[in-house]
Amino acid sequence: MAATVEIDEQNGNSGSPTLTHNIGNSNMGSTDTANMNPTAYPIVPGGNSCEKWQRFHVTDIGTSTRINNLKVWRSGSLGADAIHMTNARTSDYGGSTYATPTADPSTVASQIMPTSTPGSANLGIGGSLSGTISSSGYSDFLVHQIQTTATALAGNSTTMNYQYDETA
Amino acid sequence: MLKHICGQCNKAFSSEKAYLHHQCPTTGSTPVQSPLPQTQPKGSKLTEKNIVAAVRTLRQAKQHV
Repeated sequence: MAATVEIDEQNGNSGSPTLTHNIGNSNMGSTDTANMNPTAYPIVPGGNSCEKWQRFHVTDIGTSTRINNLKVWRSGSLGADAIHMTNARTSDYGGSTYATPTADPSTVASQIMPTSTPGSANLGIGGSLSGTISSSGYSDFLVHQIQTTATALAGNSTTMNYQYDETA
Repeated sequence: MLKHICGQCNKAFSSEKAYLHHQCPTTGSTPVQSPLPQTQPKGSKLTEKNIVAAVRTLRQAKQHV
């Protein structure tokens, strides 16, 4: 039986966070909440979205032996007035410890989010890009944020991709 | 303490285990594939002797009706 894998998002103060399991969307906006309606929480042009702190969660490995080689990327253009930043990277990687999400320019999401499938894992497990999950468990945190300029326009829609390898 | 919420049905749970074993009304399934084992109700085994006695009792009850 195939593994069951979901994407979870953690929000709130680092002292008492909330973990929303199996999120329905990854909409970015001006508040720290999962499954956001972006029209209710628009990003002010020139500002940033609140950071998203998300993880792959293997709730049941099924009859498979491991989940690994995690890759994340965005499909679609944000236009010239916004950039999508992330902590995901294929080299010099280190896991990120959860911190209260901020709408200030992220100090964790320092890389440009890839816009095509990465050639190798860019999100780790247990702090390593070569890490594996062999029963139930979580990946490292994926942190990402949209940063806009003063001339950014509303209404852009793109697709976040979350990919993993599953070994029988 | 970490609070857990199902992102599909919005129900809150005090533990990950409670979340993993809930039957989500939105998805129709539990996050884990194998539900918690059901405890077997205590009771005696039915033997052939029990069944014969029950049938005999039923026939006697029918005769009296």
